[in-house]
Amino acid sequence: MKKTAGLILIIAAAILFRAVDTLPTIGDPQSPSATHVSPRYIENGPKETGAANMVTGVLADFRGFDTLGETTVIFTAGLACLLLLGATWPNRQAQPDSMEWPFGSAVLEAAIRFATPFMLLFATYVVIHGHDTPGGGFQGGVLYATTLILIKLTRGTSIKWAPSPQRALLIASSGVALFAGIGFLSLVFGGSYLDYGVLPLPFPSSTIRTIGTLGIEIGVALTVTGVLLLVFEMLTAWHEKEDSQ
Amino acid sequence: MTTNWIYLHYWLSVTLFLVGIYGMLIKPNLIRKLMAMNILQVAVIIFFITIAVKDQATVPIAQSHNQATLSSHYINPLPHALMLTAIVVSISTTGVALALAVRIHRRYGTLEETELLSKLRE
Repeated sequence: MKKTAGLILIIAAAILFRAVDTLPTIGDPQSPSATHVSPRYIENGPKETGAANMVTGVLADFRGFDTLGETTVIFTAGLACLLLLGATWPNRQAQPDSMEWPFGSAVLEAAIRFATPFMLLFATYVVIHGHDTPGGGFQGGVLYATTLILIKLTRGTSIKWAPSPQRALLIASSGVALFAGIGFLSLVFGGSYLDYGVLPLPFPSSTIRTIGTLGIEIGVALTVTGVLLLVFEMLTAWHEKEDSQ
Repeated sequence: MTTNWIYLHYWLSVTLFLVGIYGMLIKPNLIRKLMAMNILQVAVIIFFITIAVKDQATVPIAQSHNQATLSSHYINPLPHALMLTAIVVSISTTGVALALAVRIHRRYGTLEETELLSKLRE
């Protein structure tokens, strides 16, 4: 078994190291990846989408279908974690008292109290300002989720307002629903799916696209937040009932 | 020799890729396999980001909204958008894999492949 694995590894190494020499030079502006579709994105993207950050423009506008599929993949992963580990909702009351102060430090809690508002504010900035500066739904969602997970790690289960698994699932679902809903809304107003430039708003078309992109980014951020929280909850949930042998 | 030096980033990502494959094929512990899978994903991400680089170009954020932009002034935004989603997908796959590992550990009490196989044969 190990010999077969080693053989596969050597063959793969030979092929890959041989193939490196045939790749385009790093930084070559005439390389295939830089000459086909990407000049179109760079030259017309900021004008058509209203997003100075071309990565956001490509992600939420030109490749909106791809991102919708991606969001669905994340949501499905969250559901898979839920089905694998939480067929019955973990019972909050059944958790042992030792979970209440996992690190047991007042200093830690004071530090978290100070940092949390700024972290949430920065996450919101990253989501909303993703058009003009580096940022967007995925990054902002991860920041929201890490903030909430940090609080949970510090306070354990003694914190009452942190999202429960049910709430996290609801957040994730509403994110996907918002994304797909914007797509359907543009169908209603006579465009193609996710072609949200047709929405009847009293703005120039690039501003409408900016608003549509923002809606999609918020949907993505909600999904990422919900799914990461759900995965964290499922992986750390206390189960009294162990699987029988 | 100089031609090889230019390909340094490609060499790096190929090496990381092989480290990942090695870990996934040969390491007997499931958590180690999972870490190897993450290294493999990082190798792919580095490869794509390397492809996006252009000489004498800056980050793909337009300086002004309505001015025409030249494609030679900005690096390729497409691989960055693709890798943004790839990172999140790698988090999701890691989450699902960890959930599976928790289930396996609860059922069999071990994550070592050899012990698992002997317990499965019983």
